[in-house]
Amino acid sequence: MTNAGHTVAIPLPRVLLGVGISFLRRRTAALVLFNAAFIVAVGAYNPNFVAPDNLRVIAENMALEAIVMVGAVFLLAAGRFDLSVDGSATLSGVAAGLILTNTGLPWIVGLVGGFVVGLAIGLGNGILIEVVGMDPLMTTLGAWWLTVGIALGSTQGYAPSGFPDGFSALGQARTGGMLVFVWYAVAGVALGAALLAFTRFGWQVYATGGDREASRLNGVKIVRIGIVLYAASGLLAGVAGTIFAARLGTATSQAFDGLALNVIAAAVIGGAALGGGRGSVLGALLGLLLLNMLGNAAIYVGVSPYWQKAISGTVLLIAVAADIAGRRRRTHRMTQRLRVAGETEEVRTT
Amino acid sequence: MARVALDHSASVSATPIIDVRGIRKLYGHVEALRGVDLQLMPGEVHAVVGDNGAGKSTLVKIIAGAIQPTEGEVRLDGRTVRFTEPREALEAGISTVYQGLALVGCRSIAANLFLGREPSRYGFVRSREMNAKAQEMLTELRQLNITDIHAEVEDLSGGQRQAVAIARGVRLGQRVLILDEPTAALGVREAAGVLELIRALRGSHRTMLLISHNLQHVFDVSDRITVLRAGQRVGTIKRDQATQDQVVSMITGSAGTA
Repeated sequence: MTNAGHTVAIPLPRVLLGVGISFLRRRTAALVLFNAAFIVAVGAYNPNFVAPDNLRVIAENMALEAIVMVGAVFLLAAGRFDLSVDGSATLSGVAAGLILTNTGLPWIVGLVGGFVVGLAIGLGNGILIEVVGMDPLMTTLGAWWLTVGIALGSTQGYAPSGFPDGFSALGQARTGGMLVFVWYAVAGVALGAALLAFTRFGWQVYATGGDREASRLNGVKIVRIGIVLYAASGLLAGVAGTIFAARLGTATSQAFDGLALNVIAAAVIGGAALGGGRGSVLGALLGLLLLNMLGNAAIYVGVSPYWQKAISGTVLLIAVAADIAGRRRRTHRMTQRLRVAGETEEVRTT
Repeated sequence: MARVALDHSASVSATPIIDVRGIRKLYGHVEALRGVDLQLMPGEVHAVVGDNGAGKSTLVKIIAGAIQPTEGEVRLDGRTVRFTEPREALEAGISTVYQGLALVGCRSIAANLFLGREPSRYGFVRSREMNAKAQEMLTELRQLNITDIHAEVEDLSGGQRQAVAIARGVRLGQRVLILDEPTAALGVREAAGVLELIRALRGSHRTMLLISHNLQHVFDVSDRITVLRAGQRVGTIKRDQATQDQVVSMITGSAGTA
């Protein structure tokens, strides 16, 4: 019995190799290399691309998306997603704007009001999907339309503006050469990455996405995890939307369009799977960086901005194709390994 | 027709660790269980056998807290319990190795062994401690032949997956271990390892409930056998007072008993 077992067991060197080149790490490493090569290549063609000012612009333009992206990665890892972040961000910004321009309350109330609106939308999504059992795609699409509609309806298309200085500073003040919210984004991404990769909560998020029923049978509180993740996604969108209103100095109902799909695409490029159980915050950040650099670099290499979507689409397709190829390779390796194990066993028994 | 010795002695000699009384379970209009009783005595290996659709897995899921009965009660050490979630049964020391295994494919063996109970400090998983414990567990359960705790479960063969699920069940089920068809998906050699493990665990005062189609395996390891047919208990007999033929007759209903 013991002898037979050793033949079925996987040899140690292969295991170490397998762990070393685990799927996530490969995707993250590949993206680091690809992004570095991209920066070097475009920078060689046009040094203005790598000028500190341009790098700062890229960072500032992706910072708010990065905040929303953290929520998206957690949801994808748990096998869920949230299309409503465009609406949550928009309505949060508009709510903050309306509070600031109509009430005369301290600006902090407007800020918190924006956050609370985002949190409430996320909580609503979470309860409808995890407790009532509604479909995530349609529920969050409905929430998107509903919240954008409320933003438009309540303002009749008019964008509140003229905010107190304290509020505007959140979106316009600079610290260390960067708009201050870039640092909030850095902190948020770092915190999210650590939470997902190293905490019990993060591990259970992955498990829930990998197999919901198996997780439940092992005592994982899958409903609570789902609600927390949707609430967090809404809150993060609310933060992004409120700060964006501060940055623009106006709370327009057309501030966001395509935010949800952008951050989901970034996460998938970064190794997340729509089926759940995979993905990392760092990978998603690298994916988001790539998508943002593609748009920005087009200007510096003389490609018309009208081509930008086509290029982003190609990158996303390549990433998804790489997922399939990776899985096939892996399956092939496994079949080989099992076959080898089987043959060895036969030899021993005869 | 041979007389089957029905066992009534156990229920008077001690308090059952688990006492299932009059359990009914309806799925819509389908009655999966129609008033089933089952007494699990401390330290015994109790097999539940029956044809497909007899209600074995439903009974297991009710004891494990994965589903709730329509009627009837489950007593633990003589006290009525109502598990609304598998977590509550696990906390009471009752673990289940489901036929579907309940493993998460994209996670490592170690992560699956500690799924839902990851050792942590301030919320951070202590993965070194977890891996060491996982390694220790698998060394103790050498009958299962799992060596690499870092391998992802989806990369394992069916037998290896079964072994991971059983290892986890053994660790969690300090009082009661429920095994739902633990040998059904296994080859001859792997099944022998699982049976060997069940015999080894009997010495550790653990109570086991074994669901199986394979009467040879049931007769190999169990102390008592309960037969279910069409959602009802046909009878409970001592293994050493029955033959496989008698049990087959009880399963198929070709013999009158009790």
